[in-house]
Formats: sequence, C-alpha cells, structure tokens
Amino acid sequence: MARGTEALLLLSDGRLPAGGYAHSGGLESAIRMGRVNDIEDLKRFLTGRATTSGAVAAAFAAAACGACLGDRLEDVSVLDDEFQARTPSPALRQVSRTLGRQLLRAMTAIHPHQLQQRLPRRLNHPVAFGAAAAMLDLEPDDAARGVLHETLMGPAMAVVKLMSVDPFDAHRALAELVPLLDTIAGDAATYADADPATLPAFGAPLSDVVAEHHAAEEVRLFAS
Amino acid sequence: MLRESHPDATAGAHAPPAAAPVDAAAMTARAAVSCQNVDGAANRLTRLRSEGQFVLRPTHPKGFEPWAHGAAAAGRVSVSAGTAGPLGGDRLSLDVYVGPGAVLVLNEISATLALPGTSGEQSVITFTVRVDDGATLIWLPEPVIAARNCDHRQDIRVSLAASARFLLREELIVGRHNEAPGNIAQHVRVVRDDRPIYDQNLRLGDRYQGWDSPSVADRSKAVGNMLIVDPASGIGTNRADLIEANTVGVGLDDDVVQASAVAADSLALSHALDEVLNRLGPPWSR
Amino acid sequence: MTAEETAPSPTSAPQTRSLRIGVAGPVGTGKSSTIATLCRALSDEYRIGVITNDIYTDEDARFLRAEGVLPAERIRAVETGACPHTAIRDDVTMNLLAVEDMEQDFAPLDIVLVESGGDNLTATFSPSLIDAQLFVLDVAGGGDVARKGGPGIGRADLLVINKIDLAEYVDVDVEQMVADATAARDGKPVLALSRKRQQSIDELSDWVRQLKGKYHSGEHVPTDPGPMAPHFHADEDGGYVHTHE
Repeated sequence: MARGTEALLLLSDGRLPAGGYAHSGGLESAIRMGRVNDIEDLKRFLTGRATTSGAVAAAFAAAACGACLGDRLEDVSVLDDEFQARTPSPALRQVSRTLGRQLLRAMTAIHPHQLQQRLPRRLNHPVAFGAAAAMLDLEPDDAARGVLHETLMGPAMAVVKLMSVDPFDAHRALAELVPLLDTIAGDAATYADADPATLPAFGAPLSDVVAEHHAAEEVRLFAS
Repeated sequence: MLRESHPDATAGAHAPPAAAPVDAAAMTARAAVSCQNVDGAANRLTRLRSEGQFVLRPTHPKGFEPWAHGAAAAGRVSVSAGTAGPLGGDRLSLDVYVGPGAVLVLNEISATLALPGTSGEQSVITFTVRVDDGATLIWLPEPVIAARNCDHRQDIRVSLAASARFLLREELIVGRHNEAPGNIAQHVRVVRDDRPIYDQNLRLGDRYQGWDSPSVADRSKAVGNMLIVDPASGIGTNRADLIEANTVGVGLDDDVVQASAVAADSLALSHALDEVLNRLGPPWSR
Repeated sequence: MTAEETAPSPTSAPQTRSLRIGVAGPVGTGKSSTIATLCRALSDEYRIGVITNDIYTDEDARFLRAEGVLPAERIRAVETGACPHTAIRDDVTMNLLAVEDMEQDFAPLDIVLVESGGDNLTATFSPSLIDAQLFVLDVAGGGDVARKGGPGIGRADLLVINKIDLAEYVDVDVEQMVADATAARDGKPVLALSRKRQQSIDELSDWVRQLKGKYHSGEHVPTDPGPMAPHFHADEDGGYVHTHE
C-alpha cells in the first residue's frame, strides 16, 4: 500500500466534507432502546457492525473500485442493485444513497475526474466510495479499508455526544478492533473482480429494526 | 485473528459448495416437489420425491394460511422429518417448483432441530425454488432450532417470475430451552425477473463474531424474517410498520414487504411476525 | 424524497442558479420568524425556497410550513447531526445539495434562504454555500451583545437586531445598540427589526431587493465574514476574550 496512502487518508478522514458527521450508524437509536449502555456494549456494537454491515460495505467498495479501474462501469450499476438487495431497511437505503450522493458531490469539487460524468446517477455509499477511491487512483484493498474505517468511526465519534463515556475509551475500543478490521478488509478486497451476485450479504437485523424506529422519531440528534 | 479462530466467520459467500460429506454417517439426500396446472387440472403435484430428512406428503390446510386461506384448490404439501437432524456433515436439498398459474402451500409438520455431528462438519441444507409467472408459493416452514454446538447452514435460492406471488417466513432459534446457542447461517437470496430483490445471510451463534452485538442480534435467541411479494398489490408502498421495539415490517418496493424481528423466544417471535401480517390485512391476515 | 428521485447526476450543476442568502445567529433570536417575514413580504415578487437546519427535529421547517408563507414543498429541512455550525461552514455538502435540489426541482427560483441551526455568536456561513448572509441578534439578548463583535456581528452582509418592540421591557436602548453595532461593523448595514413594525419590514425587503440587483449586475461579491474571531466567554469574573489562532 505504499502508493496512494495519502489519498486513502484523505478519502477516509471523517473530516472530508461529505456530510458523514450527521450520522451515528444506528448508535443513537441503540442507546435510546437501552441496548448500548456502557463501553463494553459499544465494543460489541462496533464488532457486530464490522462483521456485518462493515464487511458488506468493504466488499462492495472493493468491487466498485475494481469495476471502475477496469472500466467495467456496467458492473457499477449491478453492484448498486446487489447492495440494495442487501439493505432491506428503507431508512438505511435512504441514508446510504444520501451519503453516496454527498460523497460524489464533494468529489466533483475536490478532485474532478472523467468518471464523474459517466457513473450512474445514484449510488449507494459503499459503491460511491469505491468509485471515489478509483478516481484517486487507489486500489480495491484501499477502498475496502477506507469504507470499513468510516463505518466504525461514525458511531465511535458519535458516542461521546450520545452517552457519558470517556472519549479515550471509545478509541480504545476501536484500537482493540484493529486486527479484526484488518482481516475483514483483507477478505473484502478479494471481491475486487468477483461476480456481484456472490458478494457477502451478512445481515444485521437489529440495525434494520432500529433504523426504522430512528427514522420515525420526532426528536433525534443524528440523522441516522 | 478472526480468520484463525473462525475460518469462515466473515467469508460466507466464499464458503465451500455443498460437497459430499466426508463423514460416513452423514447423509446426502435430495427431495423435490413440483406443483403445476396440467391437462386442465389445477395445482397437481406433478412431482413429489421424498428422501432422507425430507418426507413430503400431500396435505390439508393446517390452520390459517396467509393469502391461500379458503383456497380449496391449492396444492398443499407438508414436509416431515424422516430422520433426526440435520446432523453435522449432512448435505440435504429440496427443490421446489411452482408452474405457471399454480398455487402451492408448503408447510412443515414440526420444527427442524439442527444437531452437531461426530465429525465437526457443517450440515448444509440447500433449497432451490422457482415460482413461475402467475404462480403462488406460500412457504411456511416451522422454526429451525440450532442445538448447542451445532454448525448448520441453510442456503435458500429463490427465483421468481415477474408476476409470481411469494411468501417466505423464517424463524431461527439458537439453542433449545435453557441451552447455549448453536451456530446457524441462513442465506436467503431472492431474484425476481433476474434482478436481486433480497439477499441476506444471517449468522447466529458464537462461531460468528459480532452476532451478539446490539447491532445484530444482541444475544436474542429468536430471529425471524418474512418476505412477501404480491404483484401489483401496493402492499409495500410507503410501508414502515413499527411493531414493538424489535420488529419492523417495511416496503422494499410497491409490491414487496419484508419483516425483521428479534425476540427472546420462539413464541414471541411468532407473535411478532403474525402482527406484521395483521398490518397487511386480508388476504395476508385473517 | 422527491429531490433524490428527480435529481440529476450529482456531478451536474443546476441549470438555474438562485441568489442564496444565509440566515445565522444565536438560538432564539428569531431566525425563523425573520425568514417567515421575508417570505411574506417578498413572495409576490420572487419565487423563494427555504432550507432549514435543525439539530434535534424539523421544528423550524414545520413552523415555516405552518405559517403558510410559501408552498410547503418549497420548505425543506436538513438534519445536521449535532453540529449546526459544521453544516454551514466546515462541511456544507448536505446544505449545498439541498439548495441545488431545490433550485432544480422548482426552477427557476429567485432566492433560496438557508437558515442555520441556532448556535452561538461565532458561527457564520461559508461563501461556498451562500452568496450573502444575515446575522440575527435580538434586544432580549442584551444591549451589549452587539459590542462583543465576532465574525457574524462584525462582517455579515446585514446585521439584524430583532424584536425591537420588546426593547422597553428588557431595558435596552435600541438606538444605542444600533450605534454600537454600526461602529463594530465599520459602517456596514444594521437593521432594527420587528415583525410588528411594517416600516422595518419594508427596510429589510428593500435590502434584499438591492442585494438581488447587485447580485445580477455582478456588483455583489460574496465575502466570508471570516474564521472565528477573538470572542467573548462569559464567566463569573465577567468573562474574557480569546482567539483561536
């Protein structure tokens, strides 16, 4: 990963102005429903998010990056359909498309690239992330790592606004997950050129459930 | 780290195909049912092949049936267990075909209890389902219970024609009463008119790191899903039914509804999924 | 959301660009009511759209819809996730897309008003999101607020001192407050407003008309009020001023 490391850091940084900061990755709702009460719960929350939604997002980002690098743009649409089939919650579909759109909009300003005119109009976030990675000359493995990082950083950053926790503890939970994340990202990268139908589809039923409850809440701190 | 302790904990889609079992005691069986309109006769069971675990019998309505209730002419088949298990190492499959315009209700006599085998191998059941144009499959399996230490996988591949009607209700229970959870992965992929509409691989049990997460199943013993495809019905339009804290019924498309439910036990899960159907109203509910 | 269904490629710019005006200011100073006032006064002349930013709810959007000053679909809410200042300055993508969608969906729009989530004295809009901005204070916040400065008070295109009909109840000398503010702004405009005083509403409307004229003639150049200026933190000893260098 010698080449492109700086570009990967640019793309994966939560400070990239693409609107990600408004989302807690379901954590706000999980806290409200009493499922996350302390740092141990947070760690379990993050672990499950990594092995389900995170692993799926990472594989789709890798595959989308691979498709863009190989100029197989028709596969990008197929990947987007496949990702949607793996996202049964309408609320999460909406969030993913919004984040995907915001990322692509930000990229038009940050790093103009011919791909931007040729991509489908709407893309789910992991697919958009893979495409953005390709625009930055990153590899599928980078795309997988970056999107997985984002999947976990959202809730890990949101937690300090939602619960009484020590921010160091939240980062310690992340640090302890590093080996798991490396494994997941490595597996995900193997899907760079895979048939889109064979990509992982790991389900996270409580994420789907809490996302719908959250969307129906009158009062909330985070958009999701 | 993950890979060492759990070889395929994250690599479900890369899991090996169901090869012949290595354990001599393990079973390989292939059963099939076809229901078709033929020679002017509606809903004939044109194929009914039982083998091993799957004993298939023509049957009568078993209580309330969503959508098909009162449809005397529907084909009805019950699956009963011919043997214990599945046991680790078993490779079982059931093929289901519903021909154009036919109606089949497929249910089960009792819950499936997945048990560990002597070999430590995974047991695998593969369901391959095709529902043709204008056809209906109402599939109401009983719960699958993953007994302690079992390692069971179910692959359910469904291909729907554009005008096919379909209901699948799945209830997974990890561990019997007062028993530690077994391991189960249930992968359901539904393709309609060659486009994927639903693809979820639900993995429960300690073999799968993160399954006990508040974002996945949070150590709940019962997890269920339901998928309902009812062409041109509008049942899914703007649907987001919040049913208790842990169950939702949502529209995936104007004519597709999906439910996710997480519950403490089988009974609560069953009630939650019933309530999803109730919200849809007749003919999906009483 | 209809915007998403009908929106063009995220990479294409909207066909019709409106004059985009931001409305910032601390919580409770009357940003929503100022926007309602503007819409009421100008909606016969201009086609207007409104984007609200709320922290916890879409309360502001609902308020404006309830006021009936615009067709309800031309009022949209953006959820800013606990960081209202980020959404108008550091990371404007959510708001920028909302503005572009609005311009696209209701083209041609003359003006889009973007209301920031109520924050503090230091939050101002980035010029990458808006062309001009109002900063709203009110007399109830105290007559000395205008003297405290900050980028919004000092350099917003227009400083509004709101709720002047309440001045007598809170012992604030409006003329003095306007004078202090004018001094803090090097002569840039300050407007004393009450939605109960038609003359002040006329002045506000005139300011917008002039801005619109200057925007189209190219005379108006969007300016950044600047980063967080040295600002005031109240404490038991009366407070202190510090910078974010």
